[in-house]
Amino acid sequence: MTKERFKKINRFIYGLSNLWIVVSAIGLLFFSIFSIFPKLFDKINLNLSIELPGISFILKEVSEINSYYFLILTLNILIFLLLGIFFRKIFKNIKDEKIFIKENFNYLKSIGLLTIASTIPYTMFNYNNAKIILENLKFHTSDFSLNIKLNFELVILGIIIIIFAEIFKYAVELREENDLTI
Amino acid sequence: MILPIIVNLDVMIAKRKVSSKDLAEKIGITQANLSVLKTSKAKAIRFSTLEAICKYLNCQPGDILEYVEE
Repeated sequence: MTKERFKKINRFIYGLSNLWIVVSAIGLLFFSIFSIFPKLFDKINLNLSIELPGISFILKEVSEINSYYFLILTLNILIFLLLGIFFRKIFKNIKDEKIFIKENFNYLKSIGLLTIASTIPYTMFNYNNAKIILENLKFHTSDFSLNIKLNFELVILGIIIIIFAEIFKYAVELREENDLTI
Repeated sequence: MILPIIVNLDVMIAKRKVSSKDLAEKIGITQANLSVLKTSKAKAIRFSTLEAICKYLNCQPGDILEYVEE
């Protein structure tokens, strides 16, 4: 890959990260309003009912699930927004040809920690959805139980990013030493 | 952070009556880097740079570099 092509790709990704932040900020505003005023969502009138042989699913009492549901989504999108901000800072530094600097190491480490943290709302969201489905689903035969499943893939990804950040820190030290070698 | 190796380049430059600008030009480094060297802030020096300095100033590495215990 030529330097020019790398710069073009970097500029494009930098532009995408700006869009990422704008969309996340709008989503955060939207979800935080609904988590504080869940009754607003009632007016959108989303009643769900499915009837199939052997099972029936009716989503009722929407306002009861609203505030918790939107709180989880707000937390998730807040993490998403912070990730976007850190990615944008890294790509801006790369755009300015400041690659091996301590700042980028700090941003990478933060991205790793946020990736691990994002498993929490993700798990809460899935657990909540499963709970709603089980409470509303009527089965004629089997028994079901709820289990909490942590998204280990995201945890491992977060750990890999943190390890990469530590390797990057070493590269920063090498660059600094090289700069001070006359 | 003061490193134990002191670079006495200023002394040698004064003895040989040359300018820092000329020295930097002749040995092929920037004035900023020469300043880093003179103030003992450099972490390392290449043998090629040391050779060029000694050749231009007609001196030995020991005339420029001094070890001082911390």
